[in-house]
Amino acid sequence: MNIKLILGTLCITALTVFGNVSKAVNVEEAQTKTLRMVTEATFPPYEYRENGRIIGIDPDVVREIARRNGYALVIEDMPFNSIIAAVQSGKADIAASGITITEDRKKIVNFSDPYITAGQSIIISKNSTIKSAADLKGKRIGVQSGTTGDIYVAENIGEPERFDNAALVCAAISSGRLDAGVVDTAPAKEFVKRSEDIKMLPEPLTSEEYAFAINKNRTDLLEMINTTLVEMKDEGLIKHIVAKHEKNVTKDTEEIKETGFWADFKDDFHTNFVDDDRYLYLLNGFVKTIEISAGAVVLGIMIGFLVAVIRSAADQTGKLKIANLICKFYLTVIRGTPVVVQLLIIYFVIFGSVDINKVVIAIIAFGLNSGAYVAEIIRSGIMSIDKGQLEAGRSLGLSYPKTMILIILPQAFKNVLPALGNEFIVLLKETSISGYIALEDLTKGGDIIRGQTYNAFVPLMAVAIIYLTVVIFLSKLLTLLEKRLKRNE
Amino acid sequence: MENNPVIFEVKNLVKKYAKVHAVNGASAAIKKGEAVFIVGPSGSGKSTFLRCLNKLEHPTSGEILFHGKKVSDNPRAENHFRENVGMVFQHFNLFPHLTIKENITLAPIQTKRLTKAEASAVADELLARIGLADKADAYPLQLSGGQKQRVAIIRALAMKPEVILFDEPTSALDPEMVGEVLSLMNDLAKEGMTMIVVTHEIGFACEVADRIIFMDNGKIIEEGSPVDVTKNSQNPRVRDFFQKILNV
Repeated sequence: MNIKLILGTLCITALTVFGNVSKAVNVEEAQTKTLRMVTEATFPPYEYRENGRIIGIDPDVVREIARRNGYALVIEDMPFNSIIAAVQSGKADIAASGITITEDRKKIVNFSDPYITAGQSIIISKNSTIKSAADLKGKRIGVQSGTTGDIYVAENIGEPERFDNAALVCAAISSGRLDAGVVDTAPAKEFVKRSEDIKMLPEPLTSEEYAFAINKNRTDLLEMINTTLVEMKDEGLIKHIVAKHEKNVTKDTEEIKETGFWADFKDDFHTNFVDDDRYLYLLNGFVKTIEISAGAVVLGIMIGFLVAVIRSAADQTGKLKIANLICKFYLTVIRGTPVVVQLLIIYFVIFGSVDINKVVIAIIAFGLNSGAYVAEIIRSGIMSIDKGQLEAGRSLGLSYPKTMILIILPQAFKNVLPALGNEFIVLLKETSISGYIALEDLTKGGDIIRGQTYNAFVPLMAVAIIYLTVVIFLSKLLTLLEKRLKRNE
Repeated sequence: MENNPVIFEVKNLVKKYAKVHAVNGASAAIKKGEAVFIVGPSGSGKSTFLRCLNKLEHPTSGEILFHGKKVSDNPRAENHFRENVGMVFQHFNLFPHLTIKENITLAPIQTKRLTKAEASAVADELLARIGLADKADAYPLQLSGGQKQRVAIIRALAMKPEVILFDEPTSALDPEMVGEVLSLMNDLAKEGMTMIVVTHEIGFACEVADRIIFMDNGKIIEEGSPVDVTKNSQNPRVRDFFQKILNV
């Protein structure tokens, strides 16, 4: 067996692993016409979740457009500051998330005709002294990152504090971490209804128009959407949808108020996990987190072993110079950039125009990242093995690859097992950034619950406990493996 | 022995590290069935010379012929060549993650010299021969130094090589364990195994060697029967060396 053969084997293994996953995606693609919509579902009444489903004004309007034109609709939830990029890169066909038309956004996407007029309003705490927009100068102002509120405040008032969603802005105001927040008027009304601690200034800060964002190349979609929007406006359907959701959200609020404040933990537990089957966010998120982590560990080990062996072989034999250079480049780039940036680049740039299961993308991103660290850990293990072992293997007529696989690597692996275990624990926790590409992993599951219940403590604690449990379990497993490998001592 | 074929022929071997000439123009021929002992002061290039023979080190210049032919630098040819040239190291270099029996059978099976069953039988036989049959499933760390080195020797033997190189096989052993290793080496020499031994055990060399090669400063400066080299050398450097050692 030689290096090429090992390379080949690893590639085939990798292809088999990912081949199976991508097959599953292809089946979904088989449905002919699909309209892929992206939204940030923490923006009631425009988009929010009920019993796990994403509903609201935008989903309803787009669903009707899709229905009338013979499309099946697929909705994805991702952070607001990523959705325009998702449309631009072709990851999605349409972004419908209470998006205001701005000049900058127009440069990268097309906008449909506006379907609703809205604005930004100021939210303050009940006992705040802020009376109007003029009082905002020099105050701590929260906004949702990437929204028109964000842009307006930054340009006209001062640098805001940017949060992932409007619910977090309101939570920060109630807890006194912010003096004020600038949030879209319609959801602002809902947040104010749901919380005792905050209120909204009657005078809106800005007035603006919401429209759908569509990829520049999809002029066919643009025409189709505009035509259907006109029809729907004429029929009064849009007004009807808006009224329906405003009422729906209010009804929700009343339900919560009827049951009063949750004084003790049991009630909190009920709201955060039992109501609307919210525990499912954590359960499904947990499964995703484990899928991503397990896949990334396997990929990371394969890449890590390969890179470590190439680097060591190059050092020991002076061969494989080009492969060694490629490995060094890989290590430098991966270890020199943050994993979030790598994940976003892989999702938006590398696989920008390809429709691949996001779990697979996350596995590739985290696997590539982990591989660099695993490679250096294993290389240090290889270097820790006495040179005599290599010489003994070679003197018996074993080839370099065989000596490596049968003699050096088993010993190296045992020596670095604690460091490898540590790397896998880090990896598991790093996957918590998967929410950036709209993957509903464990952390994102907690975020979704928090966005619905406005309770930061309970979902966060639950998420923390789940991670902790997995890590403790992993550590135990590693200790057992270490003991097993030590049987020859 | 006179008429036996030459296995190794070394012509003007030079091995240079950064600035030092470890071996500086050494020539020798080793015949089948010979036990050749290489002696000399520390740093004289003995070990480097030996390690060049099985290409663990690649010579800077000079030629090494195996059965009259140069061994190609092609990895496959090198591996096949090494199957025929066993080596025993100062620090044993047993594989600590494998059992004693696996240490012995690994290479014969992997290089397809023996089938699994054959390798197992050979290992049992060799272990029985050195009285360590009960250690077959033990790990190297559970053995004494002398036991380890004897296992290392039979590990080399299991490949049924044409020649075995010994690189200071007793230097890392406690004194009371040297005897068992030397006795095994003596047996091998008597059976006609071709051996090239780098050692400081001059007494043992005199007893077992067919020929002694004396190296100094990377050069072979004396060569001949044990008596000729240790007692009758005309070279003052050689005489001086053996006088110091043998008169202790």
